[in-house]
Amino acid sequence: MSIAFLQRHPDWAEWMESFHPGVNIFEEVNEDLLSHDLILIMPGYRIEGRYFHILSLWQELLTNPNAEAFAGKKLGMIGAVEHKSSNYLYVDSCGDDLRSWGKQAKLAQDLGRSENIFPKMVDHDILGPLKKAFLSHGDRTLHVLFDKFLGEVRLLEKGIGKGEGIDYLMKSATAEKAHDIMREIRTLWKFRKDFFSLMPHFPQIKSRYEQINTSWVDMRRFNRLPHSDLSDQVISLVEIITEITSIYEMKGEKDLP
Amino acid sequence: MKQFLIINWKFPYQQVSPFVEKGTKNLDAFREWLEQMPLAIHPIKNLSQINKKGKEAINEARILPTNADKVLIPLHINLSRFDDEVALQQKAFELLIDTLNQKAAVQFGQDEVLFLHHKGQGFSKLNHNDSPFFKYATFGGGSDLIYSSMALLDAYSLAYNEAIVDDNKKVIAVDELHYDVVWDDYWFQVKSKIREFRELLEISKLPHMNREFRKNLQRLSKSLLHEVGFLKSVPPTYQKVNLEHRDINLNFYECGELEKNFGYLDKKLRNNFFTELDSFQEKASSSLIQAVNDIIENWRVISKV
Repeated sequence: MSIAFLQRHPDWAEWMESFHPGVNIFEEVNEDLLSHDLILIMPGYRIEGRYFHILSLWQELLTNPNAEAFAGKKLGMIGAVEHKSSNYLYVDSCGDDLRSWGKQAKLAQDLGRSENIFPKMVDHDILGPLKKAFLSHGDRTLHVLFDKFLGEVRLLEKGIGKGEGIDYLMKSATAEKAHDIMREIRTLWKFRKDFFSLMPHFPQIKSRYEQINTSWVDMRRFNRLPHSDLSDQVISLVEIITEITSIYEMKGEKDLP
Repeated sequence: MKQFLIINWKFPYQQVSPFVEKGTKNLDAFREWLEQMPLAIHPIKNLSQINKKGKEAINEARILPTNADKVLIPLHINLSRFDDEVALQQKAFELLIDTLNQKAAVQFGQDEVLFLHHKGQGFSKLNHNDSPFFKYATFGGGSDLIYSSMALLDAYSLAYNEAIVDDNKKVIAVDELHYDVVWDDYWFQVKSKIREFRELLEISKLPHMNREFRKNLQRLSKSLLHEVGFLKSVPPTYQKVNLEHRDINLNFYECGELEKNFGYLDKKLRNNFFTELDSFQEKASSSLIQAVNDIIENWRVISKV
């Protein structure tokens, strides 16, 4: 039984390292973390001086019967408030052997979305801000920006298809516009990364985002065409965002900070 | 050192009632009243008053490219009751913006003013060529309630930073995340302290942390006790505030709506918190964390109203 611990405070990491050396500690979600049998989260995460809980974000996905990749996974929580349940680890009374505790914990599917399984979440739900950053706030969301970017990229690719030189195209107004949008995307990414990095989907989004970024730099700076069409890369990212937002549709709106 | 100058120009509903009565067409009286109105200023000389994100942004100098001091005017205004006639409303609005612009220029020698407004209504019709140094930003979502709290200080500074990002744009949406509903400056401090305190308490529960943290926590709990002494005395003072005798720099909770909408902390929660805080000096227990959680939960619920 492998256990991963998602945390944001060095003291917690230090404690876990010294007392439970078998547990792998992560500050953000990545492929490695997702490969563990049991994922331990905390009741609240501090982001930019505010606190958010990520329970619904993870529970929704892990208990979703369609999310086959997560079948057989367990979701645990570690906290300092006393609460008796099979998947909750109370720090004051947790034993030395976390693995045996982990074996007794229930599978995420069996856990369901029962409210009593973990202590009551008192911080804001992270779903609200996440949804906003993705698609529901004016014209500065990841979804809209990538859509705009896609439009410009398609124009460029049309030119390439007609046989126009890439060095010529990259000096056009279309390329400039695309670059401006890309700059906005980078700013948004930078500001929202702390939120994104707590999502189960973060590795997928991150790898695609980085791919797009590199491809664009290649095109713009070195006049080099990427291996696969940039528009395809953007479409695959937009599809993921659509998928994520459909999973969490209408959730978390009441808990907006 | 950069200096933000936040002007809290609040539309004092009680004083303005003769002008906002439905059907009023008296623009001259409105102008007269506007000119008499003082601008309450809240200068942030010390950058430590701006929250972490704002500080980071300033440090990076990515968002604030110039060294110029800025003026920010959050508008708490709704002229929809001024008159049914849209043209007259717009005229009143232009008058207001002009007056505030001039006042800012005269009183503070500022030539660049940023206005914050809930929906940005009225701004789109203004002729920007007449006042080149004039910008405005809107909040997405939000409500008038949110504006009644001056503890949006960090939100304003952030909104301001965000608005500077895109110089060419006239309307820039500011994420709701950048502000929080709080009662006033004082409560803002207490609230954030309570949350940080909880984090430390949680860490103190970790087996080998107890000793290290005990001293700090004792110190902190004393300071917190002092801070939240306000909670113990519970004066819902904002009900009795006399606008005329208040320091204009501190007009945070003069809005009578605040008490109605937010209420104050439940007595039971408060007493429980203090009891646990006292007993915590002797033994670190998770019941104090629970008490803090209860307060936070209550806070969250009432701030949603």
